[in-house]
Amino acid sequence: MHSRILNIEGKKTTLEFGHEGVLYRQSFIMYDKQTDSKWNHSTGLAMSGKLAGRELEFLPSRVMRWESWKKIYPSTRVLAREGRFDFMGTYVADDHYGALGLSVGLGPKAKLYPFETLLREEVVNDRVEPQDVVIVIDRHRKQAVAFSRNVDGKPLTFKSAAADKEKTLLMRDEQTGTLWERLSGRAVKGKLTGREILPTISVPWVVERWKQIYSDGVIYPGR
Amino acid sequence: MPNTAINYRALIGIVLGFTLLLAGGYSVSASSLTKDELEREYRSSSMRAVARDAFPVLFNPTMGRVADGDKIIRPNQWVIGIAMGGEAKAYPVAVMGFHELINDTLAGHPITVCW
Repeated sequence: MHSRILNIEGKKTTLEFGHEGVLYRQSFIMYDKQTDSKWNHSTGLAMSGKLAGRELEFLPSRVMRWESWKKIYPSTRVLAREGRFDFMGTYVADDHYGALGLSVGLGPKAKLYPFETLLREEVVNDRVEPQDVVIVIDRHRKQAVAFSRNVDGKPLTFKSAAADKEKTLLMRDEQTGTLWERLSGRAVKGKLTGREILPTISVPWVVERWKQIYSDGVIYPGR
Repeated sequence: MPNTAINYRALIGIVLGFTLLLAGGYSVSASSLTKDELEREYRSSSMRAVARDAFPVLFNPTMGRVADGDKIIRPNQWVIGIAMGGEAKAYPVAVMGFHELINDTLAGHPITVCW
């Protein structure tokens, strides 16, 4: 997910994208209607045309189960249309395609966190350049999300904590003892109550598929 | 809804740190390529798969509320969610597999959703 705003020759421009119908190294290409430049959708980089070399700003989307998303954001709007596929291209869909992992970050610095490992550790504090991140898993719904764990410029270190009465998954930071909701990243009890850690770019993948695409990629806990 | 801080500056920082990954295990630093090199790389490694806009791209699609989503989306189905600027939106992966690309806005900010 990207921002469509780009500064072009000093002018803040809103781009509109169409589907070019071209595949570039297994990734579809989009074009913008303003300059007809060609963009790689998975990297947000323009490869051809007037804007070649320019990059769109990434936005921190999360891939989660519908029931969890609507619980965290009860006033969410949703694209309520019939879907035709439960699988697309390089990403996941469900574990009948194989063991899943969470891919965090982008490019050669992306790291994969297999659900199998996350299930053992539950809350993983790590670094995916250029960020300190925390990766959490929800074992019942088989989903994982990643957040930047910097608050006020300093990284917090999280440990899993017992779920509350409503079975909301929790974690606690070692620095202040504050309790945080694991899937929403919201501080709910303690010194930092009301604060949030921000999601970072993460996508669930079938592990074997990820290995093919990110052939030099690091799989946690490897270096 | 709890206030969700927009932190575009931080996001830009994240993006600046990235280098480009090209599928197929071939990786190259985006910043290391000149415009001409990018053009050459694009032309040599891309191929037309379908006609332009054969995939129906959506522009500002009508979005429903949770109750509308519940009629169509199973509880354990994946959605791509984004929450910023006090607004949240979710796009079922099953729908993205067909439309692939959406031009939308979030809290007034134009965004593109791709899968």
